[in-house]
Amino acid sequence: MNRNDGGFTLIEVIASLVILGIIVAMTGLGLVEGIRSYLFTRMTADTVQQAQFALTRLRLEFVNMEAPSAGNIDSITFRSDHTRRSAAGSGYLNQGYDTPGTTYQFSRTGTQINLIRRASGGSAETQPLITGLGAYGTNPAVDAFLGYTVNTATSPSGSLPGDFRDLKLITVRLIMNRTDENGTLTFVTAVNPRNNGLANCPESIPGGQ
Amino acid sequence: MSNLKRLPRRNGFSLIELIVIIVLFGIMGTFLITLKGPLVNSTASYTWFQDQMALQQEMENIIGQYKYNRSTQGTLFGLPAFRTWVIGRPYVVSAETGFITFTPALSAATTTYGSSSIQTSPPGGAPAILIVTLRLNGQTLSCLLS
Repeated sequence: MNRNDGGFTLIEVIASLVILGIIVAMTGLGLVEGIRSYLFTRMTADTVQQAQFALTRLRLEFVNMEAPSAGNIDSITFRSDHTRRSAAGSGYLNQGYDTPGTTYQFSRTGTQINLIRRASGGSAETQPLITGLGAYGTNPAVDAFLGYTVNTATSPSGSLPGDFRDLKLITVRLIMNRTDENGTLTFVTAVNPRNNGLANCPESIPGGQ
Repeated sequence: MSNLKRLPRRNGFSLIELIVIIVLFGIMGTFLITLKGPLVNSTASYTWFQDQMALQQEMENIIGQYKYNRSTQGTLFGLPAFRTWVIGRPYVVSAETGFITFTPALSAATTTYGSSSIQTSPPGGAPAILIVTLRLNGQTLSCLLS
């Protein structure tokens, strides 16, 4: 056979196929990894955005809260100072008119947290604040939704102190389920209520409204 | 067949050259994809928000302690003693946690202060204003206490 007839030998074809196969395999693995990375990043960004929205609302309400009447690791009921401010107009956080005595409640039920507004003498209005929550525990310092730290303590407990003035911090924890695979993302913050009758709060009402 | 022997050498790349080029492209592509993975696989948004929450949590703790001290007038009631306590807390930038004075007076339209004016003790003859600065991974959170 003439060596210069312009064709490829079997060895050359096999070598080319092997090399191309290796390259295709590596490129494929890289593409799969790239797609997984993109989905992971998008999931993380979405989850962070949801948590940020919910925590911002929770912080705002807890900073302005007054006269909490009940609280445990899954729920807290309180009045808000915009109830008082709305006496001369409409509430600045909620549409409509907050009559005196209106209470708000954040309650975790299953995989979601609801904001429940109860006008005095009226029915309850429930709005979901966030969904897609993961599994919670019962330890307010580790895996519970809410915790309450009194002034003389350094770690939260699971029950609201009897005197609102003793409350230094409300710890809020969001445990979000990951949507792309198993696992959770946890977000924790703490809020000091500004209207609990301590010093430097000119509008404070000791013990509640 | 004898005519084929007289054919001139054809222009173009040889098989070896093509293989070398393909292999080089493959190696470069693999490197690019390998490097791009960690960049795309970033959890920057999560860690950034976690850091922000950690700073806010510590600042709320400081504010809560400040209010408690003011109400009870305990051992940390004075701002100098409170500053000493604050500096021991996490994320506190001690060089940017201290007493400041506003120039000109608070009643003026413009008030300014700079980090160079932060002192370790309250200025005499002026209301004591304590600035507390927390920093974590490039994020800064400050609060004024008086």
